[in-house]
Amino acid sequence: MRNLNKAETEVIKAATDATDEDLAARAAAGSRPAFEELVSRYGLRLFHFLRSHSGSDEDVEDLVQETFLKAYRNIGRFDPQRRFSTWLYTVAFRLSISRLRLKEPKPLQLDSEGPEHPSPGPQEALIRKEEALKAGNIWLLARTLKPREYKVLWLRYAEEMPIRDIARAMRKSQAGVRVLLHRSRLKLGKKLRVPSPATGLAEAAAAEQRLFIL
Amino acid sequence: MCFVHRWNISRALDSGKSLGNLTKRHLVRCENCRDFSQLGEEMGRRLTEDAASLLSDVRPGLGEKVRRVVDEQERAPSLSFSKRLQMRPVLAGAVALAVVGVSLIWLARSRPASMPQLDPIFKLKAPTTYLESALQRAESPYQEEILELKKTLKSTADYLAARFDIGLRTNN
Repeated sequence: MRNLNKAETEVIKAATDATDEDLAARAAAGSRPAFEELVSRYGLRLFHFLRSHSGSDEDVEDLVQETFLKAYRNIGRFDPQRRFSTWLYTVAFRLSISRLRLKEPKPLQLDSEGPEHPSPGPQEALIRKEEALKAGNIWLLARTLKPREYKVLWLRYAEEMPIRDIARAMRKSQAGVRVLLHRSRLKLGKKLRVPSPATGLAEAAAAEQRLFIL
Repeated sequence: MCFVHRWNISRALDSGKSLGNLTKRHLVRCENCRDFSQLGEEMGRRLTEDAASLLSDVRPGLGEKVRRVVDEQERAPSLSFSKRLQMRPVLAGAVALAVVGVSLIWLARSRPASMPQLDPIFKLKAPTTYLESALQRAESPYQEEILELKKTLKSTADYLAARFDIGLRTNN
């Protein structure tokens, strides 16, 4: 971490009270502390948003880094009349799509949105689901959905974005976003309700043990 | 018809508006759709709360990583052409191939194997002088012949005039 002088610290203090759009406007005018404040506000949010894709946490961090770099280069193009979060998520979404295309070239794919989840095999997905249910955080379970389904849920519930902005960020129509949200809810609901075979086996083993004790 | 009512439930969840009467009546008698409605609300609440708990965690290296890369970007505001080529190997390959192709064409055009060398341009004047002298040389035997004939004709006329002592005036 580089050392900040007093003036810079004061600028940062002032920046923490500003809106995202104000900070973006200042960053566009050349203010580095304003951009750093945006990084601290959105770094972790983007990290979780981009986690739907395959790869390690380091890969996701690289993608976050790439997103901010692109945002930094193009901050002058941001329209302060619009929401900064929508703009930033649009950049992140496009980068993640292009990264996914580069990583997994599949010439013939009947489902345009890709597989259920590109990274894990069925066994790994099952383990992940089990871990998610145990850990209790619903987002871990949501990661077993398709990347687009995970992303639309993140934008809707974590970012509480209106449908219009989600449509803009994900380059879809508003009706398309509603359909995607509906489908994601149905799938996540099924995953939450229906016990997996592993859970069933565990419950069966526990019941057997109880019978043995009796 | 459950799928229609579930779609209505989803739309109501997205818009925040209350359900229509038809769907409300359906929910009274359909347990599955009632479950979906309750689960949808519960899921939304959990997704929002759990996202907040995820975001309360700290990921220390992330901000620093971004700052480092932005620092590098500031130090080198525009990437050099060679750097861009390094970053895009396909583009670099295409450029290299194009350069090789152009070079080959250039070599083939500038040094033809079977054609004779052309004279340099500053010597282009010489052929005209050669041409003139050659033309003169080609014409000169005829000139010489004519001169010889003229001489013979003149001497013949002089001889005849002296021998017969005739003149043009006397003849007339």
